[in-house]
Amino acid sequence: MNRFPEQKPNRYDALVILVVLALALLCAARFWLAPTDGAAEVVVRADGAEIDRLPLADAERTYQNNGYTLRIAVTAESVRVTQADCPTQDCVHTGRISRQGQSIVCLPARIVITVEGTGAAPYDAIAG
Amino acid sequence: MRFTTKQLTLCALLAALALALSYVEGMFPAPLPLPGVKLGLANIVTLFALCALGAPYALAILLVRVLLGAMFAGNASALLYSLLGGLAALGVMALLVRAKRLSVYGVSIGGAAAHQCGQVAAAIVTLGSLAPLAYLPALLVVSVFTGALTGFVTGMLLGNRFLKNVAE
Amino acid sequence: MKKYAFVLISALCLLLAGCGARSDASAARSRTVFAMDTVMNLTVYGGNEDTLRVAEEELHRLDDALARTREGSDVYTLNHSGSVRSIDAARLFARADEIAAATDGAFDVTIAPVLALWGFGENADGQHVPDAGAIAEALRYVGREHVSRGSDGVEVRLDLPAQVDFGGIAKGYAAMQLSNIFSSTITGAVLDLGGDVCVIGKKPDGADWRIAVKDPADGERFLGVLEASDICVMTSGVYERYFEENGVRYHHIIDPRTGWPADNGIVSATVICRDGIWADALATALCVLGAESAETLRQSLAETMPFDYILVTDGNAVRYTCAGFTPEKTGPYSYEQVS
Repeated sequence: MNRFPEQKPNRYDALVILVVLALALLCAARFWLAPTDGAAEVVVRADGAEIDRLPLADAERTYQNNGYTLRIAVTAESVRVTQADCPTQDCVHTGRISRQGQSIVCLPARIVITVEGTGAAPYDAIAG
Repeated sequence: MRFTTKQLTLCALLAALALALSYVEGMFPAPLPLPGVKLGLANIVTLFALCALGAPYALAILLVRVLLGAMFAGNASALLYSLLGGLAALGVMALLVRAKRLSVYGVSIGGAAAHQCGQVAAAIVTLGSLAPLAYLPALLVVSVFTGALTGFVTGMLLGNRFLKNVAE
Repeated sequence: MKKYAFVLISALCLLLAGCGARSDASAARSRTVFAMDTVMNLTVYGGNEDTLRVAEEELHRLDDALARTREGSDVYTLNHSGSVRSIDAARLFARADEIAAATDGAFDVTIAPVLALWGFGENADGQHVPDAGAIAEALRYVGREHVSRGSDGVEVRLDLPAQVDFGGIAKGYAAMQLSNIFSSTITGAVLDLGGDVCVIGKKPDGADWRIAVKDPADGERFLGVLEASDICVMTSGVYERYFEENGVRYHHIIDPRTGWPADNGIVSATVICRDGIWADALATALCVLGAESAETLRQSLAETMPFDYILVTDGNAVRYTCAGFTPEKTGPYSYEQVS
């Protein structure tokens, strides 16, 4: 079988690794090197539509979508899903996210929880 | 695409093996808690089939594995994850195998990286949000290791004289 | 092999360095409290979990003490027995008395019986224009002279059947109480008591808070943005509650001096004042007084209780006095700054 590749790694393999890591770095740069100044907000979207937005500060919320319920706990640093009745529990296992651009995805409930920078937050409060 | 009885048997065996592998990897903690994302252990089978039998056979095995896997999981979005992940991996590996300079490790790592890209693409499609893209860097780093692992295992399989005989 | 390992490790290091710079968002805590018939959002910077817990307890305690219809509450006891011993009621009355004097009765906590006649009391149904005789009768028991304080400073007495409702200053009082609780433990706070906002201190970066003031006609739009620190921003408006009878609109801001809804072209009054109780009461008082008297009052209080206002009047005119207010020019309003 002349299609069989070598079984010993060589320097061309390193090239592949480098390309993959470069790709990783490129993607990472987009999220992790983005300016993190300013306050961060937790944005909750169900089916792609924003359903809630709250500051990164102690709070607990419950959301329902697509027949599933999940509960999130927000602290000053991070947000996590504390409870979910979905079969996979992936969102719970995600643990805490804190960095702007990070997100927790709950696929069964079709809910995405994202930490977003407010950038230059337009308002601290709304009166009236 | 003609099957000899031996090849048919081998394909069926490989599909069953791939199915078992994707089930087994579901028991491991996922590399990252993005739902549906898998390590890509089943790529061992795809790569072996690609090398030992050829791309059409590998594709057939892949499709059987993905469809049966989705049926067992009873989850349509999981189907999209493994389909896009698997197809991307197969496509990239089929290309890389032609670049004769690469060892089984290079091919496998390329395939693993493509597998993760495919899965993330599926997540983006399913959720209608670019959020899963944030996981891609970490998934790509993980893919270097899973790719090396699957490359190692595939290399051993390809070196196995019994399997070689069967394939030929 | 060593070479690849080196390449791999250096690439990983690079990647990890990217995630190394942890964002240092100032430690904000927030809590949502359901009290005083509204949703309150408290956000504090600095402080600890106890700060917010104590604040929430205080809000519930005040809610219990000041609820007019809750049997056993301080205000219920005062309204039914004619006297109560309550520090909160005594303090609130003392402030209400000052404000009633300063506004010439445009704000009065004894307006409750007249409000009830109009149907703006606790029973929301049955809103109708009462007959003039009933209003005149009810007005006999409206006025700060019907309330008095005992010599010990804790007892409050009321000439029944006069009734007291601290609703017009309860949120302002709550904000002041919270601000006392917070004072030593936090660096800054935003208290949103259901649209009535008090900010304490400055933002963690030392800047003034930015408070958007809602357009009374369209909750999605803003009149403008106010930049300030250590300030309360309280709003009253005729749009909040009203009913229509024979094609005439009657709103819930009753002039305590006439017993009829104030009719002076004011749509809403936002008052900006360091003292939450004054801000709360003045927002109502300015709706009663109208634009001209509002300016007179501001001048006369310039020394003792300086305040600013943003008045929205019929015909989409906005008059404002505060320097830190930037109008949002996209709306239908014409703005005029009064100096």
